[in-house]
Order: sequence, then structure tokens, then C-alpha cells
Amino acid sequence: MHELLEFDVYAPSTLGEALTYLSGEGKGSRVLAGGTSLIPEMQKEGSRVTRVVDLSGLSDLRYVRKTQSTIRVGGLTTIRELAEAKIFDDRYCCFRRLEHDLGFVSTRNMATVGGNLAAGADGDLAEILLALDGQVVIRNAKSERMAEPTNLDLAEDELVVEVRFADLKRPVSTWFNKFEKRKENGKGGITTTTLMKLKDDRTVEDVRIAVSRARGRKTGRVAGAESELRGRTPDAENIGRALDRLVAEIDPAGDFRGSSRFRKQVTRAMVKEGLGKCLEKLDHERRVEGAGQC
Amino acid sequence: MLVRLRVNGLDFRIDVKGNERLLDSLRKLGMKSVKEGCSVGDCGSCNVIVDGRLVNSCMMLTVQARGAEVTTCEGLGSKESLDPLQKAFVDAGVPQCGYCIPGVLMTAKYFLDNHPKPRAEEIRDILEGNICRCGAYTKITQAILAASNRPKRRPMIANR
Repeated sequence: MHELLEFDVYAPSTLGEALTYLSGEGKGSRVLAGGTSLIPEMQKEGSRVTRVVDLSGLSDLRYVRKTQSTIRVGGLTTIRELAEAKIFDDRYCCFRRLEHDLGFVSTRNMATVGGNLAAGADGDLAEILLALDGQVVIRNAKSERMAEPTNLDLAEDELVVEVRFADLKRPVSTWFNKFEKRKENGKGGITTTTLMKLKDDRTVEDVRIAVSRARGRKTGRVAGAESELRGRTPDAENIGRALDRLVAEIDPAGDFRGSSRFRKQVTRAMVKEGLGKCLEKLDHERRVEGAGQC
Repeated sequence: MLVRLRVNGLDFRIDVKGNERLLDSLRKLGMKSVKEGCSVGDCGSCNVIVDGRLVNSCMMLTVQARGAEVTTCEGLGSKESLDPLQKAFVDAGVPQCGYCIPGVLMTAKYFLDNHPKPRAEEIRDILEGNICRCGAYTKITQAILAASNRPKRRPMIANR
């Protein structure tokens, strides 16, 4: 059996208790949310975790709600709860796609929004939030701050408590894509997120493209490719020009899963598909009034 | 740390260390169907249902499951009265080495509870999280399809 090395567990029942512990006697503790990142990490030889804070008792941080024009997602919301939230209609296919693309069903039942973000800037949620211009709410015992999803810079005494983004106004569509040889819980696949909003004359009012490994291993937006489409008709010629610009703009790090050149070309194909899916949804919305399906 | 668990309809109070995984605790309680495979959530051999959610018990500390209702393969049926799912697996001659089968059954149980009339393609999708090194996927899929057409058994029966 691969038993974990011994460590102490503190199981707070409120967020306040957790934050007080992390800033005081529990300084240096590792935080356990869903466990899908931390437990495998602790299984590795040489892991020297001595104290763990188990957040599973903080059910107050499990929610997806809309207040005024802002969507708020609690840090302990599971990926499945996020992907299936009724609040997300066909504008938010990017989240619905997680039900298909993020790990296995057991992973989605366990992994949390906060855990996925805290595990690194190269996670699926950080990329989606980047495309949604989302912000991450981080708290310690004394204060609260907002951070970019790909740049949390979490201190030892801080927790991700919420994610916020402006509710998208129609007509808008989003899509999330992942390429990996076989589903697994680790990272390393290629992911892309696309968002498109059209004007009445069917020119592009807004387009956002976020990709994994935009530069090196860093997830990022592809501003040049976005600017090629903004204000133009999203026809094959303009999309082709934007995709060429994307390939010239990104510089993904290669690894044993795929060279940099391979990643560039797969990213191009996935963004093309993502933009196509967004357009398909938007055209469907024009023809048939009301929400479609993801 | 004293933890209360309800496993297959029976109540347990167990003293666990912080580092004890649900997988380890369940096996200590005699639920030997819960198997250790990859230990990092990739193979599904340790899959159990906790409060209605399919989870990898190798990635969950027992402390995280405090107060929860856990179902393992032992809770599906008994030798005298198999669950329709287990019966379908036997009828289709699914198990070869059998190591992965309890985890597969729990995945199938969770899936059928949430998708009573699945398509074969959906079953193949859900099985991505279960590795069968004997390669029995075709028969597993057939058995789950067959089980979906049989009358359902009352869930969560204590068999011991």
C-alpha cells in the first residue's frame, strides 16, 4: 500500500477558523480542498507535509450565484457543480465543456474551483477565467484582495474564497477545448478557450482567445489574433488570418508529450474549432430565438 | 481522530490518523473490494460512492469523509441476491483477472443511478476513468447496457 507519510490534520468548520489557523499556529500547513492535486503530490517520495488543513467542512464556500450583473462562484464549489450549474446557459459552453474535458467523473466530483486555481496558473479554470476577464478573490485573516486568475501569488496564510466575472450579455458564445492522448488527472494537454460577441451587422464586437502555453508554460491571451478579428466579419479569410497571427504569436514550451511546433499547430486547429463553435451557436441564436444547447 | 462513517448501511466509529486514506480505512473495515491501483486517481480501482458522489478513495482522507454515507461493492448485493448490475457482469462473463471489477461496478452503479437509460457511447465515455488491463471494455459496456434494461434493486441495503 502507498500509505501517506504521517501528518496532522486540522478540520475547521468556518472560513474564519481556517484563516486564523493558517496565520497562527498552522503556519506552513498545506491546504486540502478536493485532494486531487495535493494527495498525489504527497504520494511522491520525499513529500514532507507535516500539517494539513482540511476545508471539506466549509460548505458555505460551495455556491454558484448571480448578484446584479456579476457571477460569483465559491472556492469550494466542485468542478461538477460548476459544470452543471443551472445559471450557465448556452452562453457558457466553456463551463459545460468541463463536464467532458476535465479529468474523470470522480475527479470532477472531488476537485474544487479554488483547488484548481491554487494548484497552478496552467490549470483549465485559470484559462477559462482569463477569457471571461474573471477575477479571483483571495483572503487571509486580516484582508481580502483580488488577483488575476493566472497570477494568484498565494501566500501561505491565504485561501481562494471566490471567483467573479461579469455576466455575459447576448449575443455571445464561449467554447473550451482540450487535446490529450488519454484522460488523466495531470496537466500537460493543450487547451484553448474562445469567446465571441457579434454586432447586429454580424461583425465581431469582441473576441477573446486564451490558450495554454501561450509563452513557455504560461497560459495567456493572444492579443494579436484577437485584434485581427475585432470589427471584422468572421469569415473564413479573416479567421484564417487571425489563426496565422496566432501561430506567429505563441511560443509554447515543448515536452515529451509534444514539441513546440506540434503544440502550435494543434492550438491553431483547436482555436479554429472553438471560433467555429462560437459562430455556430451565435447563428443558431439568430435563427431560433432563445437558448440553444452546448 | 474519531470519525463516524456509515458504510453500506452500517454505522462505524473509527479512530484514524490524519494521513489515513478512505481506501485504507475501508479495507481495514473488511471492504476488500476496494482495491489500490495507481494511488493517484487515474485507474479507478478504488472507486466508491460517498454521499452519492463517485470518488477515488485513494485521493480522499478518511477525515474528509467524516459523517458520510459510503457505498462499496459489498453494499451492492450479496452472494444470495446479486445486484442486477453484478448479475449482468456474471451473465456476460465480464471478469478476467477481476482486479478492476469492483471499481468498474461502482462507476457503473453511480452512472446508472444518474443516467438510467444510457447509450453505449456514454458508457464508454464514463469508463475512461477505469483501467482494465485485461481489456474487457467491450463486455463491460455490454453488461452495463444489459443492466440498464433490468428492474432496479433498492439502493443501499446493509448486507451483513
